[in-house]
Amino acid sequence: MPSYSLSINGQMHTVEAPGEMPLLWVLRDLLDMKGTKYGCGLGICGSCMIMVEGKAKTACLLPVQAVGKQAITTIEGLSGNNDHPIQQAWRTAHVPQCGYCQSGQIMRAAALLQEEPNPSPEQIEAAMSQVLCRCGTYPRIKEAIQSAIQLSKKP
Amino acid sequence: MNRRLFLSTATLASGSLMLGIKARAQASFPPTIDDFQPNRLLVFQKDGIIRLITNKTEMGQGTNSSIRLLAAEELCVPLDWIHQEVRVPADEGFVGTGGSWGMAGYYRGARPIFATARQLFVNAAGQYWSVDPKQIILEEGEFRHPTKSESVSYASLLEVASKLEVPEEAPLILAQAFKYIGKSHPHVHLEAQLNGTLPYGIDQQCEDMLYASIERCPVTQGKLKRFDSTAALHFPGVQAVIPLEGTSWEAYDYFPAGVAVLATNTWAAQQGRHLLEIEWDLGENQKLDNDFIQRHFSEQLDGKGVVFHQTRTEPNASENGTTLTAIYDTPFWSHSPMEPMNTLAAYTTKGCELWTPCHMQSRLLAAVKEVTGFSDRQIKIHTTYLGGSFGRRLLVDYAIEALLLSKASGKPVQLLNTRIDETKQGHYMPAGKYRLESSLKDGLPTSLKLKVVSLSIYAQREPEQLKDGIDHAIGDDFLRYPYAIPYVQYEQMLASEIQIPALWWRGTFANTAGFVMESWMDELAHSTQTDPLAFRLALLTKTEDLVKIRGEETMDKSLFRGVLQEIGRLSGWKKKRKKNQGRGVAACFTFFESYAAIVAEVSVKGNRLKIHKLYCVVECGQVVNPNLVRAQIEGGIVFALSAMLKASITFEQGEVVENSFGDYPTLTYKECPEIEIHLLPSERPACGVGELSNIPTFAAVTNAIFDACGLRIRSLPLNQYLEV
Repeated sequence: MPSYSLSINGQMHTVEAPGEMPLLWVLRDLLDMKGTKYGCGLGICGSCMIMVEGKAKTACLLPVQAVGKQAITTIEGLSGNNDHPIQQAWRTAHVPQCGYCQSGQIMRAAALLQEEPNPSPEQIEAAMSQVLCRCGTYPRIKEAIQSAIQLSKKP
Repeated sequence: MNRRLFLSTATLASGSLMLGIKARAQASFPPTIDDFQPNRLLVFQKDGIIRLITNKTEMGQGTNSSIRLLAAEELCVPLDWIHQEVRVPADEGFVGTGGSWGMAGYYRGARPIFATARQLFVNAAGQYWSVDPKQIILEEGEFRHPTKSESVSYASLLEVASKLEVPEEAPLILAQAFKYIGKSHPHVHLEAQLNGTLPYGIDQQCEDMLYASIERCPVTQGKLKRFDSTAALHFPGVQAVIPLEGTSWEAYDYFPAGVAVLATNTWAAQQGRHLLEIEWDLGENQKLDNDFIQRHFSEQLDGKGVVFHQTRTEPNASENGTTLTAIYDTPFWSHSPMEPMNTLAAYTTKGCELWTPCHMQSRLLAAVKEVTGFSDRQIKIHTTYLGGSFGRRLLVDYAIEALLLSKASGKPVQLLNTRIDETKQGHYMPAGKYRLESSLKDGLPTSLKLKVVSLSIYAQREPEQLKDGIDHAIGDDFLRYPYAIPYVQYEQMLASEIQIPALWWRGTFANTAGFVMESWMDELAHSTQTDPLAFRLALLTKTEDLVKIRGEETMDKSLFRGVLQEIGRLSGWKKKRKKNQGRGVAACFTFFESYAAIVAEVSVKGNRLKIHKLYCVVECGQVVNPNLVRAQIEGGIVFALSAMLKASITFEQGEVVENSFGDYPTLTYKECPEIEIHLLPSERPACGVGELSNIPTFAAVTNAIFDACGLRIRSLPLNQYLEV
């Protein structure tokens, strides 16, 4: 079984896994990092959204052998104290209902603001439409993203 | 006790909330007992913490988060003194969550219990000071007496209270004095939801566990003929391949025959499935496809059904003016919560333990007993947090499958469905077909004859619930539209021949009845060139306000009128429409005693539909936690839009055609319209909201489409007719 050294949330982890195994299952079943969720396994629902070198990616479609030296950030590594601007904004707007998709929503939104601190409504739509929510939290996500943009601007 | 004492309007400073207790002299006699439980809901501890024991399952609605407000209110204590403990003991009477009745039930049932506990401690304070309890003042958890300089707390009165009898009755806090009820508070799980640490069913683990994935027979009631597991067993990580027989069709928690792959991780189990070679005996239900189902529905509509509601005798034809008829139909829909069905089960010969995201714990316990022959004491059920349900997790089929796999493998097993399993092998919101016929004279309807054919959940799973062949779950929602029509006759047919597993689905038949009835009101209004809102209001004024539905259930027409009048105001109903724009209205009353009305604003350009905004007015009795009530209203609207735009479950040769969110799409962020909600003040007790706003959404949107472009939608989903 091949062995991979992965940089996840600033720490190195070594795992033995078949090269095709998606990072989602490496995280969840081999490294016991359960914050990233399985929703469809087909890259459609976005519940497993993580950041690879700061860019949003669905972990269910990313084979572990393709990760290489790229830095992975998961919901567990987003902030030390639940205080990332996205988390703060999500808290204020009371976004989550069942919460299952919210790791993915939060990671997608964080990646968006990291890439584009002042996104246009179209950029927000394009990014956030990659993560599905069945409970109907979209109106609050919309509100939260606006306040996160403001929060991020503060020095 | 003088209730005026509780009319404190002082807002809690955050400092006192943090400290819990104000800095003032406290009577200091140490209680000799550690805690005291005067009733099934509350445990008072000597450290001042009050444990609140509730049994509602959390799946996003947050009932327990709001029950806490009721306890703090009645006990007159700071909110952070209440420590919530959610216990869902499957063996204590009936334990389950559903029917949108969680908060309504606690609001009515638990507040009197909290109040008697408060009165008990007031009596204890009276005894402690040898004064009349009526003179005791209770504020923010402190008991005082006008003649005493010290105060005492719940904690310091434990010993005294534990020796007194709990009063049978006590006055409730008056609504005008509410400090917590009616104000927004967060979910208690919010922080854990923000950093991914809230454990769902899928996140449960134990020593030595295996992960399972099941390849199930794609056709209902098919059988496993033979299978070859050689290739699957060679896949790295795969440990075992185990066949499952499936249940009989009649079983309450029906599941089909299947072959399970057990592995050291989820991915290996899923990959192993692709390597199985299986031969099924697909059986008779291969005949089920969309044409067969529609033909069967149509044949039934042409025949005679059972009349479940009728007013006086039919008027003779000469009384009638014009006649309108139409056929409506609604598809099968899947629940598709974001967290797929799963369970971690550990079976030994001495007993079993299950960690499962299900909200019908009593049903689960009964099913486990049936399968294992264990007694209550040998079975341990843990309810995890649920990643949504919408009705799917009322059933426990996945838990029983996991248990059988644990028994067969001798290891703890976590079963996880794939998304494709969820879509293809669900239990579905039943499809239906509806025939309507109305006569109109002088601009008003004189009759409404309705025939509804649908799969019956009761006929499939609980035939004992049918009364004289009538499924009231299908029928009752048609009775909840109080429009004055002199002659009505409602008939139903149960499509029992169609063996597709049917299940409750956020609002179930209220959604489809609402779509049909409120669309029909729109058709009638337009046929008489009357404004659809004015047409409805004209039909709501004729007779007395209280209308009996069935049994004890009563609807108040004045509240139905009220939500319609208010939605007219909120939406600016009379504002001029721009070109291509349309507005549609619909309202509903529900068995959980709430009323709602929705106005949808859409535009149709060419063939392209855009839903711009939905306004929603709700009368749901006392609003306990506006934050979570609004979340449920937003959620209901999104749920209905998700279903009606593009989603339907269809069949070919007995198999479900759709696979995942790609071909069974759910609403996305950019498709979600603006939503404006108005909660009406009410003096009624809290009613349900979980399955409310979805009901009028369907017809409000299709009525708006008609208003915009003259296209009458009588069949869902919308993408059959429009680009959405």
